[in-house]
Parts: sequence; structure tokens; C-alpha cells
Amino acid sequence: MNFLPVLGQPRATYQAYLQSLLDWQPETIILDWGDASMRPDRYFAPEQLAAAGYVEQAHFNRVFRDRFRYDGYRLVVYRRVGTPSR
Amino acid sequence: MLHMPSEFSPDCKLSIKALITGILILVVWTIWQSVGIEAMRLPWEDEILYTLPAVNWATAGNFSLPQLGHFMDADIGWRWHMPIFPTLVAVWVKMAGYQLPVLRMFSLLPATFMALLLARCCARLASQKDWPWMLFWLGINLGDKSFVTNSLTGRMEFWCLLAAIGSVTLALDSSKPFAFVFAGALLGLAAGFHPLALYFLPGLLWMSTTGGLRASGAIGFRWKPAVLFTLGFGLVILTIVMWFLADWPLTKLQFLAQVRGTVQASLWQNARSLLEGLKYNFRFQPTFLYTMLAAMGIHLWHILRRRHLDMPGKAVPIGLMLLMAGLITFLLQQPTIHLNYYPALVLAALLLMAGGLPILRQASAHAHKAALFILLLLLANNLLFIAAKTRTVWRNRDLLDPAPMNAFLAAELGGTNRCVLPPNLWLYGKQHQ
Repeated sequence: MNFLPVLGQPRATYQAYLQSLLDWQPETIILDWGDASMRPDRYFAPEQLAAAGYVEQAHFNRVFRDRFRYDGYRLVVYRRVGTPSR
Repeated sequence: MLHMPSEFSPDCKLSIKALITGILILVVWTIWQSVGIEAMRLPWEDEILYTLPAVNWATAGNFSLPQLGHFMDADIGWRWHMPIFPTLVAVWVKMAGYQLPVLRMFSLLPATFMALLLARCCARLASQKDWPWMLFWLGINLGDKSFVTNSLTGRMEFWCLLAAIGSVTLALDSSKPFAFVFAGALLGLAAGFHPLALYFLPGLLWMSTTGGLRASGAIGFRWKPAVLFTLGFGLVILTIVMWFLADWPLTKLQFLAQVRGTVQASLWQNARSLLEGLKYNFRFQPTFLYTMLAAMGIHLWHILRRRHLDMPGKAVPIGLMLLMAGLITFLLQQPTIHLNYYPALVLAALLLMAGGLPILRQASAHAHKAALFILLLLLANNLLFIAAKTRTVWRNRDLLDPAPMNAFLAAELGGTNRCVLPPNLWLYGKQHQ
């Protein structure tokens, strides 16, 4: 999972966790910008993914009307360069 | 015409008609809540942190969270929070599966029973014998925004509050020794769901010691109920402590780090955060916020003024204020806005509002009528919220079907061996397996 649901840790802890995920070399990473935009310190940044060799592949939005803050899914799929796209 | 006694009455009983009507309302409410759950509350990470260990336990026999890798030994074991909720979730998942509606139902069910007990407790505190009054309190509770939105979350607060209101009911009303042991055990159970229940201990001990609604005249202390209450409470808490001690290194690594992480800011920062949270959470319910403050003021005035012979006793008002003070103390330890704790605030506030009615009745008939009118406004405010929520679900009816998103995820993830995704999508992916 690309988000640590544990509060109050130093920023370095979150970054180390994200780096450990990249070290695992997943083929696909999905971000939900509906949620990530509210907590950028705990999510992958697009440039971080680009530096690790991931490129944006697909989007999917499902945003609900009349909602506040986290109002829906804004999914972005990143795939590692060299992984065949679907 | 509704009967309104003038002081705390120990003998009023609520009828079977009230119970049946209340249960029917709760069934309708649960069905209403089950429609459009994603439109009202998207799955969020807490629903994973607290339920996935139970799912892993139920499906693979490991009470751990290997989905977080080696982070804080998550793949070895789970000591991040209190144990009772994930234990019950494991049983629930084994029986009903791991899907979003099933998980949400696990919160909605205790919420309904909690609402019923709270409504009964409010009617008792307000000395209202007639059953429509219980439905009146039930309506206020079921339409409350904190209650509606947070009961749609797969977390443990409503189990905690169900056990806590059970303990309040017994501590307020009982005279039998076993009831006090049970009341203490219920509070211990509540704390086994969430530590916030520990902050109710002073208020509940006070109610047990002073006789709750059965007390009359000057405050008198009875030590036996307090000892029995502590016994029941202590037995459950001891079991929980033993569970934590069974893997002390993991407890230090996970639970204590989590506690430190949530209480590290200054009191000033926490107070600002609480004020912001109140302002945000009750922006659609200004009546609630001001009525809560007024109810606290009425109790304080009653507790501090010189006692007259015909005044209602002070034991219950002090007990209710201790409940609220305990909760505020808990909230003042949170540096971030945790709206999921606000149903506990609503519970304590409604008890205070109900308990304030006999005090006002004694002071002035006009003041009592004005208070009832304000409570009617609160009910109207909450009914309006119910209408607004219904409208929101209706306006999103074309988005309620998860099939297109399922198809997208299936197309993107099909054949993938290693994938990293947000916690809410984990749950999302599981719900249609």
C-alpha cells in the first residue's frame, strides 16, 4: 500500500517507506489524487515516480457531486518503463 | 398532551410501544444509510488499518499487516490499537465476507443500538415518561451529521459508544450490586474498542458512588457500588493489558509510537485544532453547537448555586459534566482534527441537554418551554440534514454503480504481479472479488 495510515511520524519515516516500495520494483503504481492532494507529505510525488522510471499510463475519475474535501476517486496509473501497457 | 414531570423521576418506564416504534425507525434508518454509501463516505485508510489485520487473521491465520511490508514489524504482528474491534471484525468477516457494505454494516449495527439506548437515557434524564419523547431524542440522534457520516465508517467508535452508553445507563439507574460490576465491565469493553472511553471513568464512578438518578437531596457517597464498578472495569482492562504485554516489544514499537504520534503537539495547538474541528463539523448544525454550550452553562449554574429544598439533586448534573469534561480532555490531546470522535461529543452533549430540562423546569416554566423549542429547532435542523443527505445520494445516483471503476481496475491490474495502490483501493478491489 502506498500510504502509511500511521499518524505523527517524522517526514523521513514516510519517505523511507515510499522508497522501500520503489525498491520492491512494482510494475504498476496507482495513486488516488482525490486523497493524495490533501496529504502530499505521505504520498509519492509525480517527479519522484518519474525519477524512478515510472510513466503515467491511464486516468479514471469518479467524483461525487455535493461533496466536500475528499469528494471522489481521481486515479492515475503509473507503469514502470519497459513494462508492457495494457 | 405530553406529560412533563418537574424533576428527575426514578420511576418512569418506557413502554413496549416505544421500543417497537423505535426499532422500526432504526430498520428504516439502516436501510436508508445503506444506499449510496460511497457517495456519502468514500472508503478511507483507517478502514484498512483497523480491519485488514482482522481479515488477514480470518483468511490466513496471521494477526498482522504484511501489506505494509516490514514497516514497524507490521508483517510480524499487530499491536497498533485496542484489540476488541479487530477480534470482532475477524469473526464478522469470517461470517459475512470482506466487502465495503458488510464492513459498514458492522458500524451501522452498533450505531442503531447505541442510538436507541441513548434516546432512552435522554428521556430518563429529562424525566419524560411518554414514549413520543423517546422518539424525539431518537430523531435528534439519527439525524445528527456526526452520527450519520461517522456510522458509515468501518471504525470502532460506535462499538465503543454502545458499550459506554450501556455503562452510563446502568450507573445512572441501577441499585443492584451485579449491575455495577456489569457497568464497570462495559466501560472496560468500551475502552477495549477505543481508549477514549477511559476518559468517561471519573463521571461514571461519580454516578455509581452517588446513586445516579436514584439519588435525592444532598449528595451522599456509597463506596460499595464504586468498588464493584472498579472490579468489573479492572477485570476487563487487566485482560487488555495482558494482551499488550504478551508482545511488549511490538507494543512499544507500534501502539506507543502511535500514541506518541497523536499527542505530541502543545495544548494551545490542540485547543486551536479542536475549535477548528467544532467549527467545521457543526457548520450545518449551529443550533447544536449553541445548545450544547447552553446546556453546559445550565449545569454549571445549577451545580454552583446555593441549594434549595425543592431543587433537583446535583449528583447527576455533576456526573454528566464529568463525562463531558473527560471527553474534552481527550479531545484536547489531539493535534489533528479527528471528526470521527465527534459522535462521542454528541452523545455527551445530548445527555447534558436532556439533563438540563428538569433543572430549567424547576427554575422557570418559561425557560423550560424555551428549551423545548430550541430542541425542536435542533430536531428540525437534523431532519434537514437527512433531507440534504438523501438529495446528495439522489444527485449522485448515476455514480453509485462501481462497475465502471471495477472494469478500469481489472483492465489495469490484470496479470500484474507487483502493484502498489492506496489503502482505499485495496478495500475497493476486495469488495467485488
